[in-house]
Amino acid sequence: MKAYQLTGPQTLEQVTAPDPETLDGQVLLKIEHVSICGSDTHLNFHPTLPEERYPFAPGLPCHEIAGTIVESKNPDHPVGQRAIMLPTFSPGVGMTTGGLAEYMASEKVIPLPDYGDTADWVMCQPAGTAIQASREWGTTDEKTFLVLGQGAIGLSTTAVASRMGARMMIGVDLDDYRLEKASRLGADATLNADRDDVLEAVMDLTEGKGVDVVVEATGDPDGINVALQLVRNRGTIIGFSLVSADEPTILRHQEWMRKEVRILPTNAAGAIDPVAPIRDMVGLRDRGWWDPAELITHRVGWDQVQDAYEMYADRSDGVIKIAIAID
Amino acid sequence: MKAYQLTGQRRLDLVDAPDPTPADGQVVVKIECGSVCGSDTHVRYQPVLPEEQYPLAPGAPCHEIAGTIVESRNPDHPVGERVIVLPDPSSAGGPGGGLAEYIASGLLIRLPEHGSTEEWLMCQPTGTVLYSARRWGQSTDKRIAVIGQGAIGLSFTMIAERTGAKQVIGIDLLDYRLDKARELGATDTINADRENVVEALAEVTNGEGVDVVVDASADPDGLNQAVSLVNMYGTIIGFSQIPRDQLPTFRHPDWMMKEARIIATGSSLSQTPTESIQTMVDLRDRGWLDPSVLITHHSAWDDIPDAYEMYAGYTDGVIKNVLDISGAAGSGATA
Repeated sequence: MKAYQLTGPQTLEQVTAPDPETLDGQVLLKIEHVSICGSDTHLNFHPTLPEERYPFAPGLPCHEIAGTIVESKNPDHPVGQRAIMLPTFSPGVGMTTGGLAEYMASEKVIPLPDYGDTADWVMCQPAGTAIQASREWGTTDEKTFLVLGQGAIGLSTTAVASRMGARMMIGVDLDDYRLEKASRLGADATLNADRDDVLEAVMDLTEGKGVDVVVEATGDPDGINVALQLVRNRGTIIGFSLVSADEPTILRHQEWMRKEVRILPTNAAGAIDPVAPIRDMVGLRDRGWWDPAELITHRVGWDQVQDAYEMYADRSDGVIKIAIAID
Repeated sequence: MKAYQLTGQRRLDLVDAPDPTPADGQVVVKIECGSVCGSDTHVRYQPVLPEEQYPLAPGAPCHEIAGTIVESRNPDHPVGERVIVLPDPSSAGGPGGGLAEYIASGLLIRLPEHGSTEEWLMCQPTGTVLYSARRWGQSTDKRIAVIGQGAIGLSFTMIAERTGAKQVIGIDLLDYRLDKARELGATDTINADRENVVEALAEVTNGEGVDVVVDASADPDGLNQAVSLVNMYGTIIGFSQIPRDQLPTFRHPDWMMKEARIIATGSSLSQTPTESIQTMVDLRDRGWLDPSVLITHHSAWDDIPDAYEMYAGYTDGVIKNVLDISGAAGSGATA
C-alpha cells in the first residue's frame, strides 16, 4: 500500500509499505479521512528528534483516522461498517502504525453511523478527548472555566463545557482568529495572552477568586504554571498538554501547595478504555448535541500532506483543523 | 392584603390577611405571579391533613413566587428590583406563600430586567432540579432514566440532555407528558401504563440498562421502581415528596443486591436554597436552557382554586400553570 512516513525533521516521504496483517479480533480499515493533532506536529513532525527515531513507522505521525472496514476478524464489526479507529501495535512492523496510509488494522474500533462524510465524523476523535476531560472536572453548571490554548483541543473543551452549562467560560490564546472561534463556540470572554494582562483580567472577571477549573491545552511546558496562577484556591487543573521530555517543566510547587490545587492529567490514549469517550462523542454528534466538524478549516488531499503538516505546525492561514482525504 | 389560604381538603378560601413586615435582611415583594408545584397539590392541597394543620398560612400552599421589591431592609436588594422569592422560614409570622399580594423574605434570586416575570419564574422549579442533577455527577458517561415527566421530571430530562447524557429515557403514565419529554430532549420514552418498564428499558438501551434513575414520580412506590430499573452499582436520585400517611414499603433486598446508591435531594432544605435557582436564571439569561417551555396554562386570580384542581387532576394537558397574582388588586371578591 502507499503511505507517508516521517523520515526526518519536517519531512514526510511517500513510500510503499507492506499491507497490514489483520489479527484475530481486529478489522482492516480502508482509510478515507484523517486529521492532524497538535501532538503530531509539536512532538513528532516539527522538532529534530534523535537520529535513531527516524524513519517513523509507515503512516505516522497520525492517529485521527476514519474509513470503512474491508476485512473483519471481529464478529462485532462487519465488513462495510464505517468506523473511527485508533492505532495499535502491529507485530508485522514491530511498532504502532498510523493513518497516513491506505490501510490500518486495529481492534480499537468506534462504529460510525451510515450517513455523513467520514471527514466530519473523524472530528469526534479529538472532541472525544474533551468529553474524557469533562469527566475529570465532574459537574459543570456551578463552575467557572478557563481554557488555556484555543487550538482544536482547547476549542473542543470550550464548546463541550459551554454546552454543559459552564457558569463562565474564558478562552485564552495568542492568536486572535482562535479567540474569535472560541467566542462563536461559547466563550463568554476571551483574552489574548500576547496583549492582555491575563492574570489581572481573570481576577477582575472572578471577583478576585480565580476560576474553578483551568484546562491547560497550550502544548507549552510552562502552561501548568500559568494555570496555577489563574485557578482559585482548591480549584482544579485539567492537564491536556503533551510536552516533550526535552523540555522539563519547573513546577511552581509553592503556588500549588498554597492553593491546594487538584491537578488531573487527561490523556485519552492512556485511558483504561480509550474507545469509550470517542464512541460517546459520536453518539452526541448523531443526536445533534454538538458538531465538532465545525472545527474544520481546511480540506486537502493526498498530495498536500506535507503542506498540511507545515501549515498546522506554523498555525498559518487561520488553521484549526485539517481534514485530509486519503485518496 | 388579599390572600388565598387552604382551609380544608381541596378548599382554597379568599381572606384578608395582615400585610407582612420585613425583618432585618428581608424585603417585601409585591407578588406578580406564582405557579403550582406538585408538592403543593399532592402533599397539601389534595390529601386530608390532620385537623390542626388547617387553615394553612395565608398564601400557602405556593412557593414558586416572583415579583418586585417594594420595601427593603437588605442593602443588596433595593426597591424596584425584580426577584424570585422563596418563603422564608425565619419570617416572624411564618414563611407565608405566593397566593397573596405581598410576602416578606430574605431568600431572593435576582432577575434580569428583560423578559416576562412569569417566564423567569420557571427557573424556580428547574433550578431546584439543577441542584439535584449535580448529585449524579458527570452525564456523558451515563444513561439516565427519569420516572415521572411532570414539570420536575421534564426539567431533569432537559438538564440530562443538555449536559450530554448518552441516553435520556422519560417514563410516565400519560402520553401527553411523554410527547413533551421527546420534544424537550428525551431520546426515548416509556409509557408505564401500557408497557413493562423493565423490559422496555432493556430494549431501548440495547440491554445496557441505565446508570442513573431519577424518581420524580411523587409515587410512594417510585423508589422501589427506581431500584428495579437501575443498573448494578447505579445511582438513584430521589426528588419525590411523599405524604406521611403514604410511606412506602422499601424493597430492601433488591436494593442490597444491586448495591445502588440512593441520594435524596431537596434544595429548599439545603444550606443555600437560592444558589441553584440563581444559577438557573443566569444560564437561562445566556440561552443555555429555557424552562419557560414548561408553561401550558395561565390562570387569573379569581380562577386559582380551579388551577389547583386542574393540577391535582392532571387535566387538560397541564404541565405548568402560571397564576396571575397581580390581578388580586383589581379583584372585588374578598371573604
